[in-house]
Amino acid sequence: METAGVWERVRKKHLMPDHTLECSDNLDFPAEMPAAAGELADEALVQAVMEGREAAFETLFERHRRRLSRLVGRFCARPEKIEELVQDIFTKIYFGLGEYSQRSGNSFTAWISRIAINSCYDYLRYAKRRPEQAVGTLTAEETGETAGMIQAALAAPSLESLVISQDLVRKLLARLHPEDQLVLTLLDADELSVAEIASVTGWSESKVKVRAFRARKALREMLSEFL
Amino acid sequence: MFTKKTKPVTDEQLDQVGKALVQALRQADTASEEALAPNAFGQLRNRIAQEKARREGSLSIWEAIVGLASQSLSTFGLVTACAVLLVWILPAQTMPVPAPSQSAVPPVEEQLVRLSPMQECTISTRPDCSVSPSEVLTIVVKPAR
Repeated sequence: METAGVWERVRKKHLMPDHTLECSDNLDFPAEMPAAAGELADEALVQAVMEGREAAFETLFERHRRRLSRLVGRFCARPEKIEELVQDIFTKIYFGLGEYSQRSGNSFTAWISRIAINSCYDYLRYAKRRPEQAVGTLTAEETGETAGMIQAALAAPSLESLVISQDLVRKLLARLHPEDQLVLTLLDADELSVAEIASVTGWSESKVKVRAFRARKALREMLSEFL
Repeated sequence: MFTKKTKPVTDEQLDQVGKALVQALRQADTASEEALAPNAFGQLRNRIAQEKARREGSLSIWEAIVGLASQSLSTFGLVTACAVLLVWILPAQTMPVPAPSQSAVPPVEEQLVRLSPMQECTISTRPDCSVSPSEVLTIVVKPAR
């Protein structure tokens, strides 16, 4: 699998802006905090942290915190949980910097995205095992609301104009298998390709395809229950 | 009699609705970005410091375990070496164990006295018995004094 090519495409989709010394590299996509001329690239900051300059890690944190928060927010609704997960991810990043710096040719953004997605997947599995961590089951009122929302979506000429309740969507998706939730979110919300998801999760492309097929089928069956 | 026919929903329509629902998760992006507290890096720094301390603590425990294990191994090795040396050296220094002498075995007469008369007769009639038939006769038909 051409990992470098895959990550280049991911970056082009504005999901994972990389920070390099050359500003021209960032011109074709909006980085949340673009590296201005004179700012150090991620790899240089990693090197600085490895040399004992802890302030460089703060720069890395400020650069990537929003993107990682957005990513975590796709899987988790509670702000305090999002904060905890993001801190957990950055702690893993900090202690993994030594390992990262030994590998050459890997994009820092790609590397931290992989850590973040794996942490989100772990969280989904944890939440599935522990009902108190789950989003919760639908009440009778919410079941009626969900049915109305789905019927409105089926009747609407354009789905973009629909007002969809975040809570209901999360509760619906929480009923799926964690792997299905992950694949559907990365496919539909982040619009990643099968190859990109395989690269991010470390699964094979065939596993991603099978999971995507099963996830769509499971979602279809779940939506049919409300019709 | 006349029921309203509901239009069947196709898989494609359900997939489109499902996709729209999942895409709705993007609406929470702004809220997610704001989930981090203003002093988030300070909290992260504390967390990293705690994790460092925990890792160093666990490392020192491991070091202690490895140190103890190496000491135990060296002690065990020393004891084993001593045991091996003892096994090799002691047989050479110890006195040879004497072979069981004939004197240890009680004489035939004493053995016979312990037996019943019938057992004596049985033993005595065996061909390898050192007591002659005449001696047996003398013993068995010994006149009472």
